[in-house]
Amino acid sequence: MTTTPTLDDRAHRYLEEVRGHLVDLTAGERDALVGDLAGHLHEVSSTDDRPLDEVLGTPAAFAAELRASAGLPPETPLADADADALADADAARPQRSFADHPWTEATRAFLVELRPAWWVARGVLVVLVLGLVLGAEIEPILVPVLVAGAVVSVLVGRRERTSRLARPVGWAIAAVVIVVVYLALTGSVDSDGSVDPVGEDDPAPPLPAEPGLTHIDGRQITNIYAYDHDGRPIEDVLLYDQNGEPLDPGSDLFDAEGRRLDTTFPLDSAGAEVRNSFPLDQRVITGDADGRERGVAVPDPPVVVPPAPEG
Amino acid sequence: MDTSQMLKGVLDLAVLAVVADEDGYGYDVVRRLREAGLDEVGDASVYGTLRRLFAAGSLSSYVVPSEEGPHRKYYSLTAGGRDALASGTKTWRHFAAVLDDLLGTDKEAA
Repeated sequence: MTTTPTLDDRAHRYLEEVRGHLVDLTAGERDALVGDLAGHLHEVSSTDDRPLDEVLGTPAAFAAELRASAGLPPETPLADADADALADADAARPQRSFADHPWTEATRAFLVELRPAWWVARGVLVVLVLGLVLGAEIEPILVPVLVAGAVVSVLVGRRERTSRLARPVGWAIAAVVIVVVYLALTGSVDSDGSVDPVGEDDPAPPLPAEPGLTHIDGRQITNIYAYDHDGRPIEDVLLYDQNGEPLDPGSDLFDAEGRRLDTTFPLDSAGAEVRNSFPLDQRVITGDADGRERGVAVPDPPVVVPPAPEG
Repeated sequence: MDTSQMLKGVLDLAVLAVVADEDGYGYDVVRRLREAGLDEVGDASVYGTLRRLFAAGSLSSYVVPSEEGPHRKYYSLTAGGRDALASGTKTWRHFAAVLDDLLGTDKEAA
């Protein structure tokens, strides 16, 4: 009896030949089968001087018996290229073992069972997305359209397995749904359904940084000019909102070219700024040739006053 | 008569019985089966059977380093394996009794 801890040559050669008849199995199955064979071959080899083929049968027969008793299918003949590819796949063992794991298979089976639910869900989602884009126009027919969307999606899903055309359609629907759900979750879809430009991750609104006055489209109102019906400017108008709160233009004001506006507010008798006295006295701050800042008075805007009603 | 065909049907039970007696590694299980009288049992059959019983949850395994060669993977019976052995034993006893009856009748006739 030998005490060599490593596998002798003939045992090693036999083991490799057996392994060669198992290459069509997954790496996980193959390793499980061959894993403790090395020890077995070592013991047989060290207690029996006859050729291993004589003791154990040919490697091919041994592999066939191993597969049959382990409940695995008989060896499927492979093209050499496939066999090589499978041998190479040993490098990718973790992934293959993962794919072989019972939990992975159970999850896969579960997902297949969920497929009809997914078909309905994606149909509904697509219609909801259309609803967001079209706004109120779709609202009166929303429920029937939702049902139609679900039905169409299920029909596409049922044909995916058999139709070459339906499969890409299914994937396209899935892609749209994934993108929209992603945008919705990351808050890039506004409540009015408009999608912010991709690539601008919620940019901090450049202006105004603090409460101020804006047009309905978000552009900053830096000043307010009042005129009478004859087109004469009215100075020092105090403006208030519907609740009697003074309109405050804020402090971070910039002109159309992005230059800072310096505002001088009139003071009341107590010395506090009166911030709602319009038009505001503003200067554009610019750097001069020496690098010093300089204020230039903002000109009055060109205004065309509508003609006054007759009488 | 070729016992290898018969063996196929009862190898699971024989392997469970051997491992229930005492934990064992592949070569050891083969040897004990042969010592018990199953001369024709194939090494590969026993290995495949151990693997299948393990995958089915009847056996658990642990590795013991060996000074004489590659490590040995020992198998032991799980609770599920004990249940399988119990029900397999019951089935075998019934089967053997039926066959004994059949063969006994034939013998008397002969």
